[in-house]
Amino acid sequence: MPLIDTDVHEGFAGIKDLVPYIEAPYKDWLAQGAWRGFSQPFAYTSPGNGNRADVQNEDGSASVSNPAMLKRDLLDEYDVTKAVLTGYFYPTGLKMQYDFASAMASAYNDMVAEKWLSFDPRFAGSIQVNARAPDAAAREIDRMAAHPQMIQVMLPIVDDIAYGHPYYRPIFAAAERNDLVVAFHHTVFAQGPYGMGLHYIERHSLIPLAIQGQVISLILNGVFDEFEKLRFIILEGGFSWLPHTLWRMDREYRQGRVEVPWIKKLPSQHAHERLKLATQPSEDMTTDQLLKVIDLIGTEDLLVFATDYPHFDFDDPDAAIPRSLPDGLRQKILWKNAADLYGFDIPDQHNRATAAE
Amino acid sequence: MANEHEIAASDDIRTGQMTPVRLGRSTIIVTRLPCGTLRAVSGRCPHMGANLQFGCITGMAQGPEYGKIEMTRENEVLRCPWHGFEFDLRTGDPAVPAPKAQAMKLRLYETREHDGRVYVSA
Repeated sequence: MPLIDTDVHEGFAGIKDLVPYIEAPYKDWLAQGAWRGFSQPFAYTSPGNGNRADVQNEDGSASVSNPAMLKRDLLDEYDVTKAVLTGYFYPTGLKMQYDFASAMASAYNDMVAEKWLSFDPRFAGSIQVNARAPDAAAREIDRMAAHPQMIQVMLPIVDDIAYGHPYYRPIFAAAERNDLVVAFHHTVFAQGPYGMGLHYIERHSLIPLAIQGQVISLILNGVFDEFEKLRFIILEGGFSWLPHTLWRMDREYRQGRVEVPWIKKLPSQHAHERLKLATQPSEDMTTDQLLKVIDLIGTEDLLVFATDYPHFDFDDPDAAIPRSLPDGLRQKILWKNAADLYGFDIPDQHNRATAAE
Repeated sequence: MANEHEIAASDDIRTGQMTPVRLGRSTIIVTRLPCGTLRAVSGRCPHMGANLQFGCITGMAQGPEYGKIEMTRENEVLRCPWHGFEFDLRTGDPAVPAPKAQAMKLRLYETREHDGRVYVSA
């Protein structure tokens, strides 16, 4: 069976890896160590310090900067048909020096194109932007969309102005005119309603709440209506909360539509038509529980598979998506829904060859 | 079979106003659409049973673009006094499609005007 992994974190060994790609004057800034890169405001508690402990570069660095290693450990190990690279270096996290952040996004994109996308045709890329400078982000999207392997725009979950705010509209307009998907992924600065909590376990449990806030913001501020062709994917934010969020928004829409009449459809209809959620980190549901959640979500076409390689909460496809699921549904989750989202042409011949497995 | 009830003088049923009429154990809301057509609907909201005479008759809010609200079809929409659900007085249908689990349509009653009097069949 084909397999599409929608959340694979490529990286670099260190911020100085961007020096060859970044423009002046920021080339000197990075070369001279003027900025050391992002640092999370917490300590990881897993054996591999946030990564799977068995994933290490040869120099011992934790982030994955070696395409050959990723190919060996993920693409070949699991016979991945397509792996969507999502990064974990999000310049939007810089809350000042917007031009510097935008330049780093451009540099990172060039590095990914040169070092990763050219390495294996199974890799697909995410265009990184500095969302705090929406016009610059739009120009970067226009620039990188020309690369045939760039399939989406990555918007990292911010902790202040949610993405439904009109401020960000140029980014969505650029994604739409370039026929790109818009992806959302949590960050080391994403927050729950009361911050990150006091422990890593709280911070990690709160991530779905931060994601829910973004979904609510996007739909109820009319982003789905204004950009009718755009499709959206939520990565690493869970999915079992979706029935509640859709029911709640639908109810609110019935009673409060008069305030936001530019929203033309029930929020659940918008979500069913143009939103995907990645399954990782799976919540160890039984097959019966997973079927119930999907039934409550209201469509089999919404969930897509992700491993989150190389992070510690990695999902193995065979364990995370039970083999006892109905075959048609399992195929939708493991590849068909993502192929539909991204327009991947998965050869029919391959499907027939694997159908007898 | 429905019985016809004489309920008011024609001049008392006005566009934009609700006239509650007690018929047996039920209350019916009577109003007049801007086109002049009488409209009689059940007095209880099909959602949770709120007494609709405390609601309001309004128009249909439209949003041609983000941040812009235009009121259309003035006096053709009834909003429930509890949750604010909107109902199209032309058809009885909710402005937003009902969830699968609930029937969400106002019951409409036949009306007739004759010699300056309004009649409702219920």
